Amino acid sequence: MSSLQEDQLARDLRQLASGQPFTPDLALIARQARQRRRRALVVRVTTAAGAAVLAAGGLLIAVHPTGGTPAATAAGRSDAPTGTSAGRSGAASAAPRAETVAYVTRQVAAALANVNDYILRTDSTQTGPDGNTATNWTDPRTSNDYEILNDPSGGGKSIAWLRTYLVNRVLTWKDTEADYSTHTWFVSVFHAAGPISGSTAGVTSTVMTPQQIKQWFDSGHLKVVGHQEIDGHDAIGLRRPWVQGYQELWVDSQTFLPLRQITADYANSKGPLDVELVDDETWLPRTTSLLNLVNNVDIPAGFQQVPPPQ
Amino acid sequence: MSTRDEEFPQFIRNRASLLHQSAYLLCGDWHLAHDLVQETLVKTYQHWTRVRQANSPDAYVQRILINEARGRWRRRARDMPVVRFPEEREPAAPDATDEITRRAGLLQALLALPLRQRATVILRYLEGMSERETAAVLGCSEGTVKSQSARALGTLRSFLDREESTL
Repeated sequence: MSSLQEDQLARDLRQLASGQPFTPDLALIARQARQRRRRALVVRVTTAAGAAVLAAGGLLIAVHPTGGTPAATAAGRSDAPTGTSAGRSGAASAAPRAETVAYVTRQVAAALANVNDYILRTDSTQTGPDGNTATNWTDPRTSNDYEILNDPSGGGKSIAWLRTYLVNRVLTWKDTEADYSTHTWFVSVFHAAGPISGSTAGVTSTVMTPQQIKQWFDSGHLKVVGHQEIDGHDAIGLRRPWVQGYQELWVDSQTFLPLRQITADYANSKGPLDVELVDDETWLPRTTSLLNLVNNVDIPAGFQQVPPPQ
Repeated sequence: MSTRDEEFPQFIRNRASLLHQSAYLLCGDWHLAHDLVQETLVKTYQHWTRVRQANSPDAYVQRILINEARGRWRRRARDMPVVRFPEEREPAAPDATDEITRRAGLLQALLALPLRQRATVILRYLEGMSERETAAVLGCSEGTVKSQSARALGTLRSFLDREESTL
């Protein structure tokens, strides 16, 4: 093909493709991106028991025995080992006692044995370019989750009720969301690509079960990174690699109930930090008002139902 | 306001139309092109940090678009229309519709190309990218771009030559 023909080809292509104007809908793009993120988090937490434990932003639980809760008695510390000190992070406070990964694993699993006795509140902060904050209340018995999301990057405030259940062994999620920026709401149902083979016990759980946390601890590459004070509690930190970053779980050194979970991922192997999720959690009594909040969909008055974003 | 909120709208204002045109030439359908671009922009928005840090954000986004098109081709392979060259055309007297007819034929010929060759032609001749830039988008060597381009142009030339002989 001669250069003249190539020039003609370029003109023809421009002419062919110039027929339709295109105006991107920024709000829709932001909304769809936010939905994708939430779905990815939900899928991550419910399908990969080990990896899910710390990855799911507002959907995972940990325990924050502020002021002392009944859960705090679940994990005794009578078998606390003595021995050499574990490593400490730079931000760690002084703590003379050290724990092995195996020891912490046992204690945390025991502390979470009574997970069904509580409603779990998670306050999540995601830093980085997609930053937002969310508060979730989760009922471990029903796997239902109620979320208030504040997304300053175009999404505004929304509230959502998230349901996780099985349909013919296929994990299914139902998301009822009300958007305060548009005063609309929608119901979106999506499911895993295929049925679960083997046992389905616990697969719909959106909270950290003792078995899941044990799997997470058993996944290897885990190390104790030290101690630091979190909201007045001395906490032991555990860390493992995560994608191009790391995950950390900080547990109360007295009760071994989780206090904070951190997921940090870098844009590439040389950084900078692309996203960081920090979840602070609290065990709450199963009051009637909290059970209603989590388990009953209550669309705000005046909101109009719309089709779910595709 | 975050960096993404400031930069992303500006970026897509400059890029969206060309992406839409590329998408149309990749798939030959305006509605599907719209979907492809929408999907591309959502992914661009989700991964804005990576996009803006890329050596060429334009190339990065173009690659998202082509990968998305490739994925849809795989998923919808059985549903995609089969486009064939006209084996024989009736001679037609030149008139005002010739240009439109010729371009429609060119689109058919373009859509008959394998996706990679089609993408090469679009990147080189619609987007005006160099062979090096095209290679960066397609994730291949400049030599591969040259060979893909040569094959694509050879196919299109045979079509255009046939068109000229029938007009």
